[in-house]
Amino acid sequence: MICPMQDRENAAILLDYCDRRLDTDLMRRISSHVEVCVECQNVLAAQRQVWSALDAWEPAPVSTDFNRRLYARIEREEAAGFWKRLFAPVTPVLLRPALPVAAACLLVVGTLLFQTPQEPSLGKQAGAELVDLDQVEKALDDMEMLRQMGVFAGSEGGV
Amino acid sequence: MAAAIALEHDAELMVRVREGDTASFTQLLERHRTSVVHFLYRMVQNQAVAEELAQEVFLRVYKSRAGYEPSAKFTTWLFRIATHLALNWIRDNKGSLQTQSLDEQILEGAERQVRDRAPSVEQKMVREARMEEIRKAIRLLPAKQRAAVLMHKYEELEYSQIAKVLECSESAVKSLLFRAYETLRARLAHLR
Repeated sequence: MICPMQDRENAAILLDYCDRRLDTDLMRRISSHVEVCVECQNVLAAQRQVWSALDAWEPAPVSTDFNRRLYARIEREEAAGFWKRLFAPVTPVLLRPALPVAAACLLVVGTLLFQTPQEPSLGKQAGAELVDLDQVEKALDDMEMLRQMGVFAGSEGGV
Repeated sequence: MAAAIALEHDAELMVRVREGDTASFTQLLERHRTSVVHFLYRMVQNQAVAEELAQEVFLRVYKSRAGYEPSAKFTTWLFRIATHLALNWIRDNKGSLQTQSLDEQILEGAERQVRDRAPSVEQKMVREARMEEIRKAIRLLPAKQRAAVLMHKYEELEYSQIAKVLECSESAVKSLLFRAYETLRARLAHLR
């Protein structure tokens, strides 16, 4: 068989051999090769040493309050998610860039609407003036009618 | 066979989580919490960060329960999330990984002291120096190689799983692993 170290593509097979992850037939074939290949023997010895060194690296235990912190975080996220879902239908509308423009337009229209009540008051004044003119005209008409009826005859006669 | 049964059990638990069974989520957490935290610790070499990232992993698992489909092994999915978060953290915190806090080392030392039944000061120093060599050798590996080695060595994931986690082919994983171990063999040769 070709030495795995001569074929970089298949060199990883030595890792599997070292880790006993290969099937029986392949294990036997590589064993026969390793017996006569010094390079492979060296690689395997170094690899076993690396794994032995890595085995010694044991991390610290997980904090005892890990689950409690996680559940608290999930609860917070779920609560935040509830409000998000609640406002989800209107959120895209609120985020539209045209909204500030529309709001400004509404503000202008609103201001104009609040200013227009002054016109009716002017109208009322004008109306009042109109009423006064009517009254004057009516009074003049009444005077004319009374004169024709002779109420002011004396005075006419006097004239 | 045992792995296949375990896989089915994990997927089954996750399907139950999808259906609203929070007790199944607790079971999944109990089964995989330690391996996820340890994997992340070896990736970022900081216990507090590792636990924070592990919380994010399980939070994401829980949040994506509604769309879960048992199409791949649960552990592949889990370590894909964990690796993604670790690689992002390493990318965003280049430099902070180079120096491990003294507190971390003291914590690890204290742990070992209990296990070793009070070794001598000299033994402790030699052992700590050796551990630092190993940690350094790992953290000097490119992040993807580091993830591949940790998943292969400690989590015993298959090549196909590592390939899915790292989004590459199986042959690329084998090549990645061989280069990583080649570097480690050279860096740790003096420890023989």
